[in-house]
Amino acid sequence: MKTLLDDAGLPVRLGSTLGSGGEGRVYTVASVGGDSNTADLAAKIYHSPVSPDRRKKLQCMVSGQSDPLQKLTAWPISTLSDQNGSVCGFLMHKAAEAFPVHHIYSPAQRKREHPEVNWDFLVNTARNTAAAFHAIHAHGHVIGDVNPNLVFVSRDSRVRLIDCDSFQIFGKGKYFLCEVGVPHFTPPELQEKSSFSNIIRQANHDNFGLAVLIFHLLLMGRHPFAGVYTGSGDLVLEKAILDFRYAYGRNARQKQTKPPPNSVEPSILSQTIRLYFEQAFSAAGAEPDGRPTAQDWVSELDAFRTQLRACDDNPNHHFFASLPHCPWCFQEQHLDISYFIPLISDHNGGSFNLIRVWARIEAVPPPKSVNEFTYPPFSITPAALPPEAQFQKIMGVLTKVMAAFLAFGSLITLNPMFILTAIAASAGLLAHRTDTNKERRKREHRLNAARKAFSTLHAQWKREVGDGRFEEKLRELERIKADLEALSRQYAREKDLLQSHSNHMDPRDLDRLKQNFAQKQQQLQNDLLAGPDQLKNIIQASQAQRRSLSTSLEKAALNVAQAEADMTVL
Amino acid sequence: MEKSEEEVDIEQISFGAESFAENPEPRCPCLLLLDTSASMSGDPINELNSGLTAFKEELATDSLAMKRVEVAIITFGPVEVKKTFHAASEFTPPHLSTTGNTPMGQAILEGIDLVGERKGEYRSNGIAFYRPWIFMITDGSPTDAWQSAAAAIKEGEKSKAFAFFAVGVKGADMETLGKISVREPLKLQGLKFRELFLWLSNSMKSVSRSVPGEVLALPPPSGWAEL
Repeated sequence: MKTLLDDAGLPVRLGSTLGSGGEGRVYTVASVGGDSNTADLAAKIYHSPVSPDRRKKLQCMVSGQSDPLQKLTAWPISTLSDQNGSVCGFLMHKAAEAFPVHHIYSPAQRKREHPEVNWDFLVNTARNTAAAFHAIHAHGHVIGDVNPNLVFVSRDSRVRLIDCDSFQIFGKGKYFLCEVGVPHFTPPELQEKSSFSNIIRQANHDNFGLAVLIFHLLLMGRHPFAGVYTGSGDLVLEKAILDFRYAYGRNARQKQTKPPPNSVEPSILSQTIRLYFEQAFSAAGAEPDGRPTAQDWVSELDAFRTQLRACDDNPNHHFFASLPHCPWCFQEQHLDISYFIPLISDHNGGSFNLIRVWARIEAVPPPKSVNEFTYPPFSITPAALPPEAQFQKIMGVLTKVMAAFLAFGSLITLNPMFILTAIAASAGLLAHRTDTNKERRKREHRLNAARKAFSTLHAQWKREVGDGRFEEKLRELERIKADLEALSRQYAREKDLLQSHSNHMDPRDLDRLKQNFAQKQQQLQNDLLAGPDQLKNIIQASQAQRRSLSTSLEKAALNVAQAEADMTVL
Repeated sequence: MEKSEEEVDIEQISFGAESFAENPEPRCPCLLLLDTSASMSGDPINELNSGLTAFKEELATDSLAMKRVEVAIITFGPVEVKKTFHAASEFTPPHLSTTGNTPMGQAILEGIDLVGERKGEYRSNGIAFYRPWIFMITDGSPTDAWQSAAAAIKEGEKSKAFAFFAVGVKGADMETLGKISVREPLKLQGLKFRELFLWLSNSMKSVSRSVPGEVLALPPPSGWAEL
């Protein structure tokens, strides 16, 4: 890597790549002026040579930096120059351990990756996002390109805005424009512009994108204009924005649009927030300074977050205290959608996370399909009959021929000699039958015994070597998971019952109930935590069993084949 | 604005690992129409399979695209829907093997139907979507009547119902492909399926965050197409 110099002339060494975009690449910083205490720094280096306008913009941003901007954004701290002295990038603060805001406003991804994030966190994030917008506007700048990757959120809900070099900057008496924008976050008044390269953006434009972001955060990742269009044909989102078809608005019906089925609606919010959305998404909002400002949002959300309460039944459900019921319980009970998953504090260090534990269970690969036992090739010679049975067999044939002859003879001659001989021959036939039958019974018995032994072993094989026991265990773990998920609701029911049945409820009864449920919960959690190891043990045991069982099973199969062959010679 | 309990929408949300309620991001549907006729056997089908894996891996580097891009696969022939539309996060590349002839016309018509159905689901669930892409890869020429498929593509392109792209692998009947596709068909360099799918993935990423008014600036296909 070539050496770069910062504004103070100190050499800057770059580290690994953090990300790459259309314009440039972002790196960690290994050291500045030999000082490697640079974990909170990053550097953006442009792919192509920096134009004079961009260089002036960066220099203007560096000289206009302030504490709030440094704290709330990835603002350029210093430009970076190559050996020729040309500006090729800049240094900035890095959002440590932060993630893009769409990771938490999208319910599926939030539950998967940040299950500890509840609605109060989302309200906080919305408030902090508004505060960061306010800081930009207070400095006379405009973000311009509001989009889902603009806001990075850290684990304590503080935010940092990134991609600052694309912002519209006001400095030295002129505007450095923002020439990009994402249509879904672009206000109606700019929707039909063919390009942003000549447009001076206003804070009021940003305030549209801000309201859209806040809507996503508070209302489960929905876009305010993504409704069900009841008119004919397709209505693209850009057109819905242009036509002010706010799907949840008071004029939505006239605008032939309605909220999507099963969506969470703004009625769960305060009156003021609902009015703010109406205003931000209406024609009146498109007038100069027509929308609620970032500062308006900060004060309203600050007020709102003190009016939240936790649900009695599900402590991870937070909602606006003025509502008669918990909206998240409503969603769960009526629509079967769980937006917030329980993380009840418990003895597992308060950190039992059902989704993660279950993911670990699902990650155990099921044993390779060995349900079917493959038979080794047999070569079988039927066992010879014992000598007397063999003699009897020959005799039997002879007597049969003789008896037939004699019977025929006695019929046509009616000679008593013939008749007597015929009777004697028949007796001989019977005697032969008794001997062969004895051998047949013996061999049948052997065959049955061999088949029985084989099927017992084969069943054992299926259970212990195939995926039988693994599947059994998995089903059991699924039942435990379902029990655990139902537990908090069950607790709420029993608590209600306890309270409704006794006018003077003994608080000790409630304590006992609580303790009882905590114990149950603990037990179920421990069972699940042990799950992955149990599954792995089953696989290991099955491999060992496979080796020992396959020898016995081969032997048993051979016995069956032999016994079957032995039957054929009779 | 208030919604009483009586008014609760009874419309069912479609079952999937992730419902629209849990992932309401705008969707970017991408249908792959893949020729698995006998002539693709050997290296071509192997390269196609590893290209599909690269497609998924590349999409996975972009968490927004993972929520927005939906992939479906139809193979021909015979025509078979291998994967219906699912978010990229749930897309597992199938292992394709070769069979039969090249009923391209039927595959295209079924593909257009599949895209139409998915759009209906988006509409009734209030899910915004970008123009669907239908991306066909073939090494032969159609063994069935393709004229009605060509007409359906013209109609779909005109009404912006979808964008249709055709890529010919060595041996493909480029002349007929040119009659089927409104957009100029591209010829794959050798077996650069991997490069092709990396390009497709990057294009889907840009489609899912386009800039208004600008003609979508797709990355140049120079890494895989004979230009």
